[in-house]
Amino acid sequence: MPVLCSANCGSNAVLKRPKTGDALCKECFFWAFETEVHNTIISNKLFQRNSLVAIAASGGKDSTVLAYVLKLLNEKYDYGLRFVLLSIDEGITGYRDDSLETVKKNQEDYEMPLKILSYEELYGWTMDQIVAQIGRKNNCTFCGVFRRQALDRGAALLRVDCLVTGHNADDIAETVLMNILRGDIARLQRCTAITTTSEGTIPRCKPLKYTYEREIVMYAYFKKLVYFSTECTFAPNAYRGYARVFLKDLERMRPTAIIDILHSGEQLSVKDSVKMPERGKCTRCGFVSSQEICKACSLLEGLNRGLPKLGIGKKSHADRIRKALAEF
Amino acid sequence: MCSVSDDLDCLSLTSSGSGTDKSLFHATCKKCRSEPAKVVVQLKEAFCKNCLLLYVNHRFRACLGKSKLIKPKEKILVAVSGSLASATLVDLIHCGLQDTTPKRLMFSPIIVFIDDGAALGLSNEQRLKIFQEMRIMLKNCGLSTFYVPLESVINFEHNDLKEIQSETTLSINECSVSKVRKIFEDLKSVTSKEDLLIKLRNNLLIQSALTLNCSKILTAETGTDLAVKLMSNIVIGRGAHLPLDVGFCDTRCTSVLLLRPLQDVSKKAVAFYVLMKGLKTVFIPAFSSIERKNCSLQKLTENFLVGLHCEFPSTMSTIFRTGEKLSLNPLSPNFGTSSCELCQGPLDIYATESSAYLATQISSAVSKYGKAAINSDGIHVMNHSSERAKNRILSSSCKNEANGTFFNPVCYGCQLILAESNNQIHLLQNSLRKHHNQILRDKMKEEIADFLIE
Repeated sequence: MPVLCSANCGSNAVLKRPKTGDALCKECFFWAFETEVHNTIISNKLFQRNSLVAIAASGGKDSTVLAYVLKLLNEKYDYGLRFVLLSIDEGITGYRDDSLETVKKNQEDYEMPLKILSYEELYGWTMDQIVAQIGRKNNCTFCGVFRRQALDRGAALLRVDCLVTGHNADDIAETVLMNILRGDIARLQRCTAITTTSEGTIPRCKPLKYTYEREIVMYAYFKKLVYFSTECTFAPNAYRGYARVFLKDLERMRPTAIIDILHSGEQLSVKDSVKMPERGKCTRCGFVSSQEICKACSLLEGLNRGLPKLGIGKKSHADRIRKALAEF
Repeated sequence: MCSVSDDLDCLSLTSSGSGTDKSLFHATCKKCRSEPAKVVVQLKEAFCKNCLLLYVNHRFRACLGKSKLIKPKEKILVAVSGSLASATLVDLIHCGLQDTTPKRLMFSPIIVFIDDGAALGLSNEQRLKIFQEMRIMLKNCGLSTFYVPLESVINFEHNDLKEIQSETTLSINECSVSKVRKIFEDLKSVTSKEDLLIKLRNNLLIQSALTLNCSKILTAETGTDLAVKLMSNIVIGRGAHLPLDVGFCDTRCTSVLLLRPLQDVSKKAVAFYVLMKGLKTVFIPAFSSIERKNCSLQKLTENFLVGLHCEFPSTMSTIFRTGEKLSLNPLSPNFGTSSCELCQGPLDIYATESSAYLATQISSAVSKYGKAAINSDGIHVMNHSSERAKNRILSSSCKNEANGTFFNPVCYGCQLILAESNNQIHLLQNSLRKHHNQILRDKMKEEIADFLIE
């Protein structure tokens, strides 16, 4: 027997929302999904009229859906925004080259200009070369740190007012878990913020913060959106993988666990007596950093000097190596 | 919960998991440097028997001493469950009170054992057996020991607390037992059952402490337990209460503080302590121990962390240290004012413009009422919908309004429990409200304490 849409529209339901457990028809689901994202944007005042917004686009489901929904909502509710797609080419054969094709297709479909920046032009290294030098450990450390900065650089280059990323509820819940596992109290406190900004940088925000990954897939599936879905060839060894598997197990048992973790994360507050890293600027590249030399610069220095371990691990460690090298 | 079996592997004295595969077979004790080492407590830390016992004792003493919360001659309630950790705690206190002990402990402890049998659905025979084993376990500690069944939470009376050694049989109040059973059978998931049991147990401990004129409660939660509890509380939406639920001191009830003096000892060290001293323990099945491996979020979290700890041996302590750095959210509009009727923690369900809580409420509003959930005037609809959502928050906190259950709001985590219960949980209403009011009065009293004569 067909199940009726719980929104009482009279149609048959086609899916069950993981977030609430309600059965919805296709149209009501689209409407609910879009309304929620719209609500997140409005109630958090993510955008200002006439802004130029860069969408960090990887070609994956999150950024594809994000670009689609933002375009749609911008027209529907007249946000008065202009968009540009910003992609980073890490130089991973068999992964990024393919996904960039999807982004190029998005560019046509959504009529948004596209800017691609590559690790090679920014840092002189592709991820393939980096992995060849450092081996299969700590790959995501390099890639993640470089990408974060590359996006900042790209945003500055395009002179945008704001950068949006496709982080979804699952990603943030995963980050909450991971920051606890790693004891990273400073990140634990700020990882649930919907907008991150600091002086002299372009604000970043996450309009899909409260959207479940599964609902994003559902949305893309029923809207027949094209996206690229292959895991990065270097990812399987990452520590994040543990948190990811754990979160999926939790979700299977209680689908609301994701939003529950998000709620927990939002409620955390750090004691005043705990010393927090201070935000400053990197003395080399001028981007935000809590250290004298930012992570991207020390990783890069390590690569260029043939000492890939330089940027991995403790700062004191790196300082010792630098000192020894200087004396030498 | 018992992990003795993993721990016994370590007796083979090879350091596991770490980068150094050097055998510790003929190692001497790291501390006294004379005796041959017997156990490895942490990475590369091999102890002989005496040094291990001293180590555990020292950790316990240092933790209590550092807090400076316990005054001489104070009456302290010690919560005992029969687990390895509680056997250790009783033994540490027992030894600490001996006249021959240097720096004798100065407080006077009273042991309380809560019998969860009714919640777990155990038969009267099983409960009697556990009771008798408990009697034997606690016989030689020379402290006054009390027993209180969990069903007393329905309607707590002072004479529900019974001297364990003077009783030979259990007097079971079948009416209360069936009520407690109904409440727990009514909950769909083991996750909520475990969660509710912890809350009710704490509730009963506080009431027992008040009855016995104790101003503090000691529990035997180890650092490992607390790390697991921290993570599982995050998972079940109780992040706001972490400083109370896993910190050293739980200040929910201002007149009875709950302290966790074994927080700096690992579960492994405790297991070795019990083994070396030959202490008696009592095994009481938990909800999850009779079920399949991943029957609850708590169990799943524990399995995950134990697994991760094998590969990254600092996992548990890192998590625990993270917890130590957290405080109650001072930005919460309910900070220090209103608390949850069920768990007495600060309320975390205020709806700011951006919160996971509000987002969920909106999601369920739009998927239940469709477009009708929103007013028709363009972009302002959202404010209306959040108004609506806010109203829904209020109504959802008074679940089963018709039955008059839970007039006071409950916190996010407790709402998840209530959402699973059909109705039976209202059986708890009276006692919880009484308890809630008592705690509120205590807070009021503390506030005006400076102006009270006497």
